[in-house]
Amino acid sequence: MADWSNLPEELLQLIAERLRFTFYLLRFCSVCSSWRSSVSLHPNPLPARFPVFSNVGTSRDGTFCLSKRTLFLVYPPPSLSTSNSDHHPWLIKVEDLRGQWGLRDPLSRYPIKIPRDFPTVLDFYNLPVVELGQEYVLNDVDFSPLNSLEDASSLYLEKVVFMWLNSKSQEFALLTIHVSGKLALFKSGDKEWTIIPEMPTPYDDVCVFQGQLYAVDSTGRTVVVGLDSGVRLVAEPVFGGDKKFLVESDGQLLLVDKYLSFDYQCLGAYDGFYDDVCFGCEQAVKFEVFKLDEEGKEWVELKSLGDRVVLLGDDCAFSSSASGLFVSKGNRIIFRDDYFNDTAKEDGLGVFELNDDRISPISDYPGYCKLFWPPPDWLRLPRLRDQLEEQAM
Amino acid sequence: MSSSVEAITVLSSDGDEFKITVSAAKLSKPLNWMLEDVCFSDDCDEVPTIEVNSKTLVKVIEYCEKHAPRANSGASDSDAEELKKWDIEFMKMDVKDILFHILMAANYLHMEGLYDLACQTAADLMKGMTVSQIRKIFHIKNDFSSEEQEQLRRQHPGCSFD
Repeated sequence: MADWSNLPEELLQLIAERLRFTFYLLRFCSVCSSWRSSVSLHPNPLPARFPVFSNVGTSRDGTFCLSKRTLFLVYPPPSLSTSNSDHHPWLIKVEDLRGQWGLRDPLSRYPIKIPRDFPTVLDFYNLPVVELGQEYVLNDVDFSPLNSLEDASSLYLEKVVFMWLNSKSQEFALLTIHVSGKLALFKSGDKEWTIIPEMPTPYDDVCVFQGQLYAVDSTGRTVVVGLDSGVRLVAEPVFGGDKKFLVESDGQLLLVDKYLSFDYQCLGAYDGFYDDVCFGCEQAVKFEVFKLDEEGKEWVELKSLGDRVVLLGDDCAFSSSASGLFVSKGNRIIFRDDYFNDTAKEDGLGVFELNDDRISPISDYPGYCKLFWPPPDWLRLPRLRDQLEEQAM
Repeated sequence: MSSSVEAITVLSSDGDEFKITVSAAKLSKPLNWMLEDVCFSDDCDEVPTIEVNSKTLVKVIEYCEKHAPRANSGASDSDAEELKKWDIEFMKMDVKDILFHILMAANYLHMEGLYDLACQTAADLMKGMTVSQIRKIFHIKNDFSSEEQEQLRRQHPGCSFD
Protein backbone atom coordinates (compact mmCIF):
# COMPACT_ATOMS: atom_id res chain seq x y z
CA MET A 1 0.00 0.00 0.00
CA ALA A 2 1.47 3.30 -1.05
CA ASP A 3 1.79 5.58 1.93
CA TRP A 4 3.74 8.74 1.31
CA SER A 5 3.81 9.53 5.01
CA ASN A 6 5.82 6.34 5.51
CA LEU A 7 8.39 6.97 2.83
CA PRO A 8 11.85 6.10 4.22
CA GLU A 9 13.60 9.08 5.72
CA GLU A 10 16.47 9.03 3.23
CA LEU A 11 14.00 9.35 0.34
CA LEU A 12 12.11 12.16 2.07
CA GLN A 13 15.43 13.94 2.48
CA LEU A 14 16.23 13.49 -1.21
CA ILE A 15 12.88 15.06 -2.11
CA ALA A 16 13.34 17.89 0.38
CA GLU A 17 16.79 18.66 -1.05
CA ARG A 18 15.16 19.28 -4.41
CA LEU A 19 12.73 21.83 -3.01
CA ARG A 20 15.55 24.37 -3.08
CA PHE A 21 13.80 27.22 -1.30
CA THR A 22 13.30 27.59 2.44
CA PHE A 23 9.68 28.46 1.90
CA TYR A 24 8.90 25.18 0.13
CA LEU A 25 10.75 23.32 2.85
CA LEU A 26 8.52 24.94 5.44
CA ARG A 27 5.50 23.72 3.48
CA PHE A 28 7.01 20.24 3.29
CA CYS A 29 7.49 20.13 7.06
CA SER A 30 3.89 21.22 7.65
CA VAL A 31 2.38 18.26 5.80
CA CYS A 32 2.67 15.53 8.44
CA SER A 33 4.84 14.58 11.39
CA SER A 34 6.99 12.01 9.57
CA TRP A 35 7.83 14.53 6.86
CA ARG A 36 8.63 17.11 9.48
CA SER A 37 10.98 14.85 11.39
CA SER A 38 12.85 13.88 8.21
CA VAL A 39 14.33 17.33 7.64
CA SER A 40 15.61 20.13 9.78
CA LEU A 41 12.88 22.73 10.09
CA HIS A 42 15.16 25.45 11.29
CA PRO A 43 17.40 26.65 8.52
CA ASN A 44 20.50 28.41 9.64
CA PRO A 45 19.85 32.00 10.58
CA LEU A 46 21.51 34.46 8.26
CA PRO A 47 24.88 35.58 9.51
CA ALA A 48 24.31 38.86 11.26
CA ARG A 49 27.25 41.16 10.81
CA PHE A 50 29.99 41.90 8.33
CA PRO A 51 32.76 44.46 8.37
CA VAL A 52 32.38 47.48 6.09
CA PHE A 53 34.86 47.75 3.27
CA SER A 54 38.08 49.19 4.58
CA ASN A 55 38.65 51.34 1.51
CA VAL A 56 35.35 52.91 0.59
CA GLY A 57 36.72 56.29 1.46
CA THR A 58 35.19 56.60 4.89
CA SER A 59 37.22 56.28 8.02
CA ARG A 60 34.24 55.37 10.17
CA ASP A 61 34.17 51.91 11.64
CA GLY A 62 30.97 50.07 11.12
CA THR A 63 29.29 46.86 10.27
CA PHE A 64 26.87 45.69 7.65
CA CYS A 65 23.98 43.47 8.38
CA LEU A 66 22.55 41.17 5.77
CA SER A 67 18.88 40.96 5.05
CA LYS A 68 17.05 38.64 2.74
CA ARG A 69 14.14 39.48 0.52
CA THR A 70 12.13 36.85 -1.26
CA LEU A 71 10.04 37.28 -4.37
CA PHE A 72 6.76 35.45 -4.22
CA LEU A 73 3.87 34.99 -6.58
CA VAL A 74 0.80 34.71 -4.41
CA TYR A 75 -2.13 32.96 -6.03
CA PRO A 76 -5.79 33.20 -5.04
CA PRO A 77 -7.04 30.43 -2.75
CA PRO A 78 -7.82 27.20 -4.65
CA SER A 79 -11.52 27.64 -3.96
CA LEU A 80 -11.64 30.70 -6.24
CA SER A 81 -12.17 29.98 -9.90
CA THR A 82 -9.16 30.72 -12.08
CA SER A 83 -11.34 31.48 -15.10
CA ASN A 84 -12.29 34.82 -13.57
CA SER A 85 -9.68 37.31 -14.75
CA ASP A 86 -9.90 39.14 -11.40
CA HIS A 87 -8.43 36.08 -9.73
CA HIS A 88 -4.89 36.76 -10.83
CA PRO A 89 -1.70 36.27 -8.86
CA TRP A 90 0.15 39.07 -7.10
CA LEU A 91 3.89 39.55 -7.30
CA ILE A 92 5.41 40.71 -4.02
CA LYS A 93 8.73 40.96 -2.30
CA VAL A 94 8.85 40.06 1.35
CA GLU A 95 11.69 41.14 3.57
CA ASP A 96 12.57 39.15 6.63
CA LEU A 97 13.43 41.72 9.27
CA ARG A 98 14.57 39.31 11.94
CA GLY A 99 11.23 37.65 12.48
CA GLN A 100 9.12 40.58 11.27
CA TRP A 101 7.93 40.64 7.70
CA GLY A 102 7.90 43.68 5.48
CA LEU A 103 6.41 44.11 2.04
CA ARG A 104 8.37 45.77 -0.71
CA ASP A 105 7.86 46.71 -4.28
CA PRO A 106 8.97 43.62 -6.22
CA LEU A 107 11.34 45.36 -8.61
CA SER A 108 12.64 48.20 -6.47
CA ARG A 109 14.03 48.76 -3.01
CA TYR A 110 11.01 50.64 -1.72
CA PRO A 111 8.28 49.53 0.66
CA ILE A 112 4.74 49.55 -0.68
CA LYS A 113 1.69 51.10 0.87
CA ILE A 114 -1.37 48.94 1.14
CA PRO A 115 -4.97 50.22 0.97
CA ARG A 116 -6.76 50.33 4.31
CA ASP A 117 -9.33 47.65 3.58
CA PHE A 118 -6.74 44.96 3.04
CA PRO A 119 -6.06 42.25 5.59
CA THR A 120 -3.44 43.16 8.14
CA VAL A 121 -1.72 39.86 7.60
CA LEU A 122 -1.23 37.92 4.41
CA ASP A 123 -1.60 34.32 5.44
CA PHE A 124 1.01 32.39 3.50
CA TYR A 125 0.07 29.14 5.17
CA ASN A 126 -3.24 28.93 3.38
CA LEU A 127 -2.42 30.56 0.07
CA PRO A 128 -0.75 28.91 -2.93
CA VAL A 129 2.62 30.61 -3.23
CA VAL A 130 5.45 30.20 -5.71
CA GLU A 131 8.91 31.44 -4.84
CA LEU A 132 10.60 33.13 -7.79
CA GLY A 133 13.89 34.16 -6.25
CA GLN A 134 15.73 35.90 -3.49
CA GLU A 135 17.80 39.00 -3.13
CA TYR A 136 20.12 40.06 -0.37
CA VAL A 137 20.99 43.53 0.80
CA LEU A 138 23.71 44.83 3.04
CA ASN A 139 22.41 47.54 5.32
CA ASP A 140 24.61 49.66 7.48
CA VAL A 141 23.54 48.82 11.01
CA ASP A 142 25.02 51.92 12.55
CA PHE A 143 23.37 54.29 10.18
CA SER A 144 20.56 56.30 11.78
CA PRO A 145 19.23 54.00 14.47
CA LEU A 146 15.85 55.75 14.40
CA ASN A 147 15.27 55.00 10.77
CA SER A 148 11.94 53.78 9.56
CA LEU A 149 11.62 51.20 6.81
CA GLU A 150 11.87 53.96 4.24
CA ASP A 151 15.18 55.25 5.58
CA ALA A 152 16.64 51.84 6.07
CA SER A 153 17.66 51.74 2.46
CA SER A 154 21.09 50.34 2.23
CA LEU A 155 24.00 52.69 2.23
CA TYR A 156 25.81 50.33 0.03
CA LEU A 157 23.64 49.93 -2.99
CA GLU A 158 25.30 47.26 -5.08
CA LYS A 159 23.62 43.92 -5.43
CA VAL A 160 24.88 41.20 -3.10
CA VAL A 161 24.64 37.47 -3.59
CA PHE A 162 24.73 35.02 -0.74
CA MET A 163 25.30 31.29 -0.77
CA TRP A 164 25.38 28.63 1.93
CA LEU A 165 28.37 26.41 1.21
CA ASN A 166 26.95 23.45 3.03
CA SER A 167 23.41 22.96 4.24
CA LYS A 168 24.58 21.38 7.48
CA SER A 169 27.28 23.78 8.54
CA GLN A 170 27.20 27.51 9.00
CA GLU A 171 29.64 28.19 6.18
CA PHE A 172 28.66 30.76 3.62
CA ALA A 173 30.03 33.10 0.96
CA LEU A 174 28.98 36.58 -0.10
CA LEU A 175 29.88 38.25 -3.36
CA THR A 176 29.32 41.84 -4.35
CA ILE A 177 30.80 44.55 -6.53
CA HIS A 178 33.08 47.02 -4.85
CA VAL A 179 32.89 50.74 -5.71
CA SER A 180 36.03 50.28 -7.78
CA GLY A 181 34.14 47.86 -10.05
CA LYS A 182 36.15 44.92 -8.70
CA LEU A 183 34.58 41.89 -7.11
CA ALA A 184 34.50 41.64 -3.32
CA LEU A 185 34.22 38.25 -1.62
CA PHE A 186 33.51 37.47 2.00
CA LYS A 187 33.48 33.98 3.48
CA SER A 188 32.43 32.78 6.91
CA GLY A 189 35.41 33.11 9.22
CA ASP A 190 36.96 35.98 7.25
CA LYS A 191 37.90 39.14 9.13
CA GLU A 192 37.56 41.37 6.12
CA TRP A 193 36.39 41.41 2.54
CA THR A 194 38.75 40.17 -0.15
CA ILE A 195 38.85 42.54 -3.08
CA ILE A 196 39.71 40.44 -6.12
CA PRO A 197 42.30 42.39 -8.14
CA GLU A 198 41.48 40.81 -11.50
CA MET A 199 39.37 43.28 -13.52
CA PRO A 200 39.82 43.98 -17.23
CA THR A 201 36.63 46.11 -17.09
CA PRO A 202 34.38 46.94 -14.15
CA TYR A 203 31.88 44.30 -13.10
CA ASP A 204 28.16 44.80 -13.72
CA ASP A 205 26.34 41.94 -12.05
CA VAL A 206 26.75 38.90 -9.83
CA CYS A 207 24.57 35.85 -9.29
CA VAL A 208 24.45 32.35 -7.85
CA PHE A 209 23.83 29.69 -10.46
CA GLN A 210 23.87 25.97 -9.73
CA GLY A 211 25.82 26.44 -6.51
CA GLN A 212 28.51 28.65 -8.03
CA LEU A 213 29.19 32.36 -7.89
CA TYR A 214 29.05 34.05 -11.30
CA ALA A 215 30.03 37.58 -12.23
CA VAL A 216 29.72 39.49 -15.48
CA ASP A 217 31.53 42.67 -16.42
CA SER A 218 30.30 45.53 -18.57
CA THR A 219 31.54 43.81 -21.76
CA GLY A 220 29.72 40.58 -20.99
CA ARG A 221 32.89 38.72 -20.07
CA THR A 222 31.74 36.22 -17.47
CA VAL A 223 33.63 34.39 -14.74
CA VAL A 224 33.00 31.89 -12.00
CA VAL A 225 34.43 33.12 -8.72
CA GLY A 226 36.12 30.45 -6.62
CA LEU A 227 36.14 30.47 -2.85
CA ASP A 228 39.91 30.89 -3.06
CA SER A 229 39.18 34.26 -4.76
CA GLY A 230 40.37 32.86 -8.07
CA VAL A 231 38.31 33.56 -11.16
CA ARG A 232 37.69 31.19 -14.06
CA LEU A 233 36.53 32.52 -17.42
CA VAL A 234 33.24 30.97 -18.55
CA ALA A 235 32.31 33.28 -21.41
CA GLU A 236 34.12 35.78 -23.62
CA PRO A 237 32.79 39.34 -23.96
CA VAL A 238 29.82 40.19 -26.18
CA PHE A 239 30.36 43.98 -25.86
CA GLY A 240 27.06 45.40 -27.18
CA GLY A 241 24.94 47.33 -24.69
CA ASP A 242 25.44 49.28 -21.49
CA LYS A 243 24.31 47.19 -18.56
CA LYS A 244 24.54 43.44 -18.18
CA PHE A 245 22.28 41.26 -16.03
CA LEU A 246 22.62 37.59 -15.17
CA VAL A 247 19.38 35.71 -14.78
CA GLU A 248 18.41 32.09 -14.38
CA SER A 249 15.58 30.93 -16.58
CA ASP A 250 14.28 27.39 -16.56
CA GLY A 251 17.61 25.93 -15.41
CA GLN A 252 19.67 27.98 -17.86
CA LEU A 253 21.88 30.96 -17.21
CA LEU A 254 20.99 33.94 -19.39
CA LEU A 255 22.70 37.24 -20.00
CA VAL A 256 20.46 40.24 -20.58
CA ASP A 257 22.12 43.23 -22.18
CA LYS A 258 20.40 46.58 -21.72
CA TYR A 259 21.08 49.39 -24.18
CA LEU A 260 20.60 52.86 -22.75
CA SER A 261 20.28 56.32 -24.19
CA PHE A 262 21.06 59.26 -22.00
CA ASP A 263 18.49 61.98 -22.10
CA TYR A 264 17.50 65.15 -20.29
CA GLN A 265 14.07 65.78 -18.91
CA CYS A 266 12.81 69.23 -18.09
CA LEU A 267 10.36 70.01 -15.34
CA GLY A 268 9.48 73.44 -16.70
CA ALA A 269 10.26 76.78 -15.12
CA TYR A 270 10.60 76.67 -11.39
CA ASP A 271 9.49 79.42 -9.00
CA GLY A 272 12.16 82.04 -8.88
CA PHE A 273 14.12 80.52 -11.74
CA TYR A 274 13.89 81.63 -15.31
CA ASP A 275 15.39 78.50 -16.78
CA ASP A 276 13.81 75.12 -16.94
CA VAL A 277 15.04 72.60 -14.39
CA CYS A 278 16.58 69.71 -16.24
CA PHE A 279 17.98 66.46 -15.04
CA GLY A 280 19.71 63.56 -16.71
CA CYS A 281 17.72 60.46 -17.33
CA GLU A 282 18.71 57.05 -18.57
CA GLN A 283 16.30 55.39 -20.90
CA ALA A 284 16.34 51.78 -22.04
CA VAL A 285 16.17 51.55 -25.81
CA LYS A 286 16.80 47.87 -26.47
CA PHE A 287 17.59 44.53 -24.83
CA GLU A 288 19.44 41.51 -26.09
CA VAL A 289 19.35 38.09 -24.49
CA PHE A 290 22.08 35.44 -24.59
CA LYS A 291 22.35 31.86 -23.44
CA LEU A 292 25.54 30.50 -21.95
CA ASP A 293 27.46 27.92 -23.97
CA GLU A 294 29.89 26.73 -21.32
CA GLU A 295 31.81 24.45 -23.64
CA GLY A 296 32.36 27.09 -26.29
CA LYS A 297 32.93 29.71 -23.56
CA GLU A 298 30.60 32.12 -25.23
CA TRP A 299 27.23 33.77 -24.96
CA VAL A 300 24.95 32.74 -27.80
CA GLU A 301 22.23 35.21 -28.71
CA LEU A 302 18.68 34.01 -28.13
CA LYS A 303 16.11 35.30 -30.58
CA SER A 304 13.25 34.28 -28.35
CA LEU A 305 12.56 33.56 -24.70
CA GLY A 306 9.63 31.37 -25.73
CA ASP A 307 7.07 31.26 -22.95
CA ARG A 308 9.42 32.90 -20.44
CA VAL A 309 9.21 36.38 -18.98
CA VAL A 310 12.32 37.99 -17.49
CA LEU A 311 11.89 40.55 -14.72
CA LEU A 312 14.76 42.93 -14.00
CA GLY A 313 14.73 44.52 -10.56
CA ASP A 314 17.15 46.76 -8.70
CA ASP A 315 18.79 43.95 -6.75
CA CYS A 316 17.80 40.83 -8.58
CA ALA A 317 16.74 39.47 -11.92
CA PHE A 318 14.39 36.54 -12.18
CA SER A 319 12.09 34.79 -14.59
CA SER A 320 8.80 32.97 -14.79
CA SER A 321 6.71 31.24 -17.38
CA ALA A 322 3.95 33.41 -18.84
CA SER A 323 1.36 30.88 -17.67
CA GLY A 324 2.71 31.12 -14.11
CA LEU A 325 2.05 34.87 -14.23
CA PHE A 326 -1.44 34.29 -15.71
CA VAL A 327 -0.48 36.33 -18.79
CA SER A 328 -1.17 35.11 -22.29
CA LYS A 329 2.25 35.63 -23.85
CA GLY A 330 5.85 35.44 -22.76
CA ASN A 331 9.01 36.43 -24.68
CA ARG A 332 9.07 39.76 -22.82
CA ILE A 333 11.29 41.60 -20.40
CA ILE A 334 9.79 43.69 -17.61
CA PHE A 335 12.19 46.31 -16.31
CA ARG A 336 12.43 49.42 -14.21
CA ASP A 337 13.41 52.59 -15.92
CA ASP A 338 13.90 56.22 -14.92
CA TYR A 339 12.12 57.22 -18.08
CA PHE A 340 8.79 55.83 -16.93
CA ASN A 341 9.23 57.15 -13.43
CA ASP A 342 7.77 60.59 -14.00
CA THR A 343 4.28 59.22 -14.46
CA ALA A 344 3.19 57.71 -11.19
CA LYS A 345 0.86 55.18 -12.75
CA GLU A 346 3.62 53.42 -14.67
CA ASP A 347 5.52 52.94 -11.46
CA GLY A 348 8.73 53.11 -13.45
CA LEU A 349 8.05 49.89 -15.30
CA GLY A 350 8.47 49.16 -18.96
CA VAL A 351 7.95 46.13 -21.15
CA PHE A 352 10.29 45.04 -23.93
CA GLU A 353 8.97 42.72 -26.65
CA LEU A 354 11.68 40.43 -27.93
CA ASN A 355 9.91 39.60 -31.17
CA ASP A 356 9.79 43.17 -32.47
CA ASP A 357 12.23 45.07 -30.20
CA ARG A 358 9.45 47.35 -29.00
CA ILE A 359 9.45 49.14 -25.63
CA SER A 360 6.19 50.28 -24.05
CA PRO A 361 5.04 51.40 -20.63
CA ILE A 362 3.56 48.57 -18.60
CA SER A 363 0.14 50.25 -18.70
CA ASP A 364 -0.14 49.02 -22.30
CA TYR A 365 -0.21 45.49 -20.89
CA PRO A 366 -3.14 45.16 -18.48
CA GLY A 367 -2.32 41.52 -17.71
CA TYR A 368 1.18 42.45 -16.56
CA CYS A 369 -0.01 45.57 -14.73
CA LYS A 370 -2.27 43.49 -12.52
CA LEU A 371 0.71 41.56 -11.20
CA PHE A 372 2.06 44.69 -9.56
CA TRP A 373 -0.56 47.20 -8.58
CA PRO A 374 -3.10 47.52 -7.08
CA PRO A 375 -3.19 44.37 -4.93
CA PRO A 376 -5.80 41.98 -6.31
CA ASP A 377 -9.39 42.31 -5.16
CA TRP A 378 -9.56 38.75 -3.91
CA LEU A 379 -7.20 39.81 -1.12
CA ARG A 380 -9.80 42.18 0.28
CA LEU A 381 -11.42 41.27 3.53
CA PRO A 382 -13.80 39.71 4.27
CA ARG A 383 -13.83 37.74 1.03
CA LEU A 384 -10.45 36.17 1.53
CA ARG A 385 -11.23 35.17 5.08
CA ASP A 386 -14.43 33.46 3.95
CA GLN A 387 -12.64 31.66 1.16
CA LEU A 388 -9.91 30.44 3.46
CA GLU A 389 -12.37 29.26 6.07
CA GLU A 390 -14.31 27.40 3.44
CA GLN A 391 -11.11 25.74 2.32
CA ALA A 392 -10.13 24.74 5.85
CA MET A 393 -13.42 22.93 6.39
CA MET B 1 27.30 -15.86 -17.18
CA SER B 2 27.48 -16.60 -20.84
CA SER B 3 28.15 -13.51 -22.93
CA SER B 4 25.71 -14.76 -25.55
CA VAL B 5 22.73 -14.02 -23.32
CA GLU B 6 21.07 -10.79 -24.42
CA ALA B 7 18.00 -10.76 -22.24
CA ILE B 8 17.20 -12.23 -18.87
CA THR B 9 13.98 -13.18 -17.21
CA VAL B 10 13.09 -11.90 -13.79
CA LEU B 11 10.08 -12.38 -11.54
CA SER B 12 8.15 -9.55 -9.99
CA SER B 13 6.99 -9.75 -6.39
CA ASP B 14 3.58 -10.72 -7.78
CA GLY B 15 5.18 -13.71 -9.49
CA ASP B 16 4.92 -12.44 -13.07
CA GLU B 17 7.80 -12.98 -15.48
CA PHE B 18 9.49 -10.08 -17.21
CA LYS B 19 12.25 -9.91 -19.78
CA ILE B 20 14.93 -7.28 -19.51
CA THR B 21 17.93 -6.89 -21.80
CA VAL B 22 21.34 -7.31 -20.22
CA SER B 23 22.39 -3.80 -21.20
CA ALA B 24 19.28 -2.34 -19.54
CA ALA B 25 19.75 -4.44 -16.41
CA LYS B 26 23.21 -2.92 -16.04
CA LEU B 27 21.57 0.36 -14.99
CA SER B 28 20.85 -1.23 -11.64
CA LYS B 29 23.68 -2.38 -9.40
CA PRO B 30 21.73 -5.18 -7.70
CA LEU B 31 20.54 -6.45 -11.10
CA ASN B 32 24.09 -6.29 -12.32
CA TRP B 33 25.26 -8.39 -9.36
CA MET B 34 22.47 -10.85 -10.10
CA LEU B 35 23.74 -11.14 -13.66
CA GLU B 36 27.09 -12.17 -12.32
CA ASP B 37 25.80 -14.53 -9.65
CA VAL B 38 22.91 -16.28 -11.25
CA CYS B 39 23.15 -18.82 -13.98
CA PHE B 40 21.13 -17.61 -16.97
CA SER B 41 21.90 -20.36 -19.45
CA ASP B 42 19.04 -22.31 -21.01
CA ASP B 43 19.56 -25.40 -18.91
CA CYS B 44 19.31 -23.40 -15.70
CA ASP B 45 15.79 -22.72 -14.55
CA GLU B 46 16.49 -20.43 -11.64
CA VAL B 47 14.66 -17.13 -12.17
CA PRO B 48 15.59 -14.32 -9.82
CA THR B 49 12.82 -12.45 -8.04
CA ILE B 50 12.83 -8.70 -7.80
CA GLU B 51 10.89 -7.31 -4.87
CA VAL B 52 8.93 -4.87 -7.01
CA ASN B 53 5.29 -5.34 -8.02
CA SER B 54 4.42 -6.04 -11.66
CA LYS B 55 2.84 -2.68 -12.38
CA THR B 56 5.96 -0.87 -11.19
CA LEU B 57 8.43 -3.30 -12.72
CA VAL B 58 6.94 -2.70 -16.18
CA LYS B 59 7.72 1.00 -15.76
CA VAL B 60 11.18 0.40 -14.33
CA ILE B 61 12.08 -1.87 -17.25
CA GLU B 62 10.66 0.66 -19.72
CA TYR B 63 12.93 3.30 -18.16
CA CYS B 64 15.98 1.03 -18.23
CA GLU B 65 15.50 0.04 -21.87
CA LYS B 66 15.12 3.68 -22.89
CA HIS B 67 18.15 4.87 -20.96
CA ALA B 68 20.45 1.90 -21.58
CA PRO B 69 21.86 2.97 -24.97
CA ARG B 70 22.85 6.36 -23.64
CA ALA B 71 24.21 5.03 -20.35
CA ASN B 72 26.33 2.46 -22.13
CA SER B 73 27.74 4.53 -24.95
CA GLY B 74 27.31 8.18 -24.11
CA ALA B 75 25.22 10.33 -26.38
CA SER B 76 25.03 13.62 -28.17
CA ASP B 77 23.31 16.69 -26.81
CA SER B 78 20.31 16.23 -29.06
CA ASP B 79 19.84 12.72 -27.67
CA ALA B 80 20.05 14.14 -24.16
CA GLU B 81 17.45 16.72 -25.05
CA GLU B 82 15.16 14.03 -26.48
CA LEU B 83 15.66 11.84 -23.44
CA LYS B 84 14.78 14.72 -21.13
CA LYS B 85 11.47 15.18 -22.95
CA TRP B 86 10.86 11.45 -22.76
CA ASP B 87 11.52 11.52 -19.00
CA ILE B 88 8.93 14.27 -18.50
CA GLU B 89 6.31 12.24 -20.36
CA PHE B 90 7.37 9.08 -18.55
CA MET B 91 6.88 10.69 -15.13
CA LYS B 92 3.29 11.68 -15.86
CA MET B 93 1.89 8.97 -13.65
CA ASP B 94 -0.44 8.43 -10.78
CA VAL B 95 1.13 9.85 -7.63
CA LYS B 96 -0.42 7.44 -5.19
CA ASP B 97 -0.19 4.21 -7.13
CA ILE B 98 2.89 4.44 -9.28
CA LEU B 99 5.20 7.32 -8.38
CA PHE B 100 5.54 6.11 -4.82
CA HIS B 101 6.47 2.58 -5.91
CA ILE B 102 8.83 3.87 -8.60
CA LEU B 103 10.66 5.85 -5.95
CA MET B 104 10.90 2.84 -3.65
CA ALA B 105 11.95 0.56 -6.52
CA ALA B 106 14.58 2.98 -7.81
CA ASN B 107 16.00 3.18 -4.31
CA TYR B 108 15.99 -0.59 -3.85
CA LEU B 109 17.53 -1.16 -7.28
CA HIS B 110 20.13 1.60 -6.76
CA MET B 111 19.10 3.40 -9.93
CA GLU B 112 20.40 6.90 -9.38
CA GLY B 113 18.95 8.40 -12.57
CA LEU B 114 15.47 7.10 -11.84
CA TYR B 115 15.28 8.06 -8.20
CA ASP B 116 16.67 11.46 -9.02
CA LEU B 117 13.89 11.87 -11.58
CA ALA B 118 11.23 10.53 -9.20
CA CYS B 119 12.37 12.78 -6.33
CA GLN B 120 12.39 15.80 -8.62
CA THR B 121 8.90 14.94 -9.86
CA ALA B 122 7.61 14.64 -6.29
CA ALA B 123 9.28 17.94 -5.33
CA ASP B 124 7.86 19.71 -8.40
CA LEU B 125 4.36 18.55 -7.49
CA MET B 126 4.64 20.44 -4.20
CA LYS B 127 5.83 23.76 -5.59
CA GLY B 128 3.25 26.48 -5.34
CA MET B 129 0.83 24.26 -3.43
CA THR B 130 -0.65 24.96 -0.04
CA VAL B 131 -0.12 22.44 2.74
CA SER B 132 -3.62 21.06 2.36
CA GLN B 133 -3.18 20.77 -1.41
CA ILE B 134 0.04 18.79 -0.89
CA ARG B 135 -1.76 16.47 1.51
CA LYS B 136 -4.46 15.92 -1.09
CA ILE B 137 -1.98 15.18 -3.89
CA PHE B 138 -0.03 12.67 -1.82
CA HIS B 139 -3.04 11.30 0.08
CA ILE B 140 -1.59 12.16 3.45
CA LYS B 141 -3.58 12.66 6.64
CA ASN B 142 -2.85 15.65 8.80
CA ASP B 143 -1.58 14.09 12.02
CA PHE B 144 -0.57 17.29 13.80
CA SER B 145 -2.33 18.48 16.91
CA SER B 146 -3.94 21.89 16.60
CA GLU B 147 -1.13 23.38 18.72
CA GLU B 148 1.54 21.90 16.46
CA GLN B 149 -0.31 23.12 13.41
CA GLU B 150 -0.57 26.61 14.80
CA GLN B 151 3.14 26.58 15.53
CA LEU B 152 3.94 25.56 11.94
CA ARG B 153 1.55 28.15 10.58
CA ARG B 154 3.33 30.83 12.55
CA GLN B 155 6.63 29.95 10.96
CA HIS B 156 5.28 30.80 7.52
CA PRO B 157 5.91 34.35 6.41
CA GLY B 158 3.00 36.49 7.50
CA CYS B 159 3.17 39.81 5.81
CA SER B 160 1.93 42.54 8.00
CA PHE B 161 0.38 45.39 6.05
CA ASP B 162 0.60 48.01 8.78
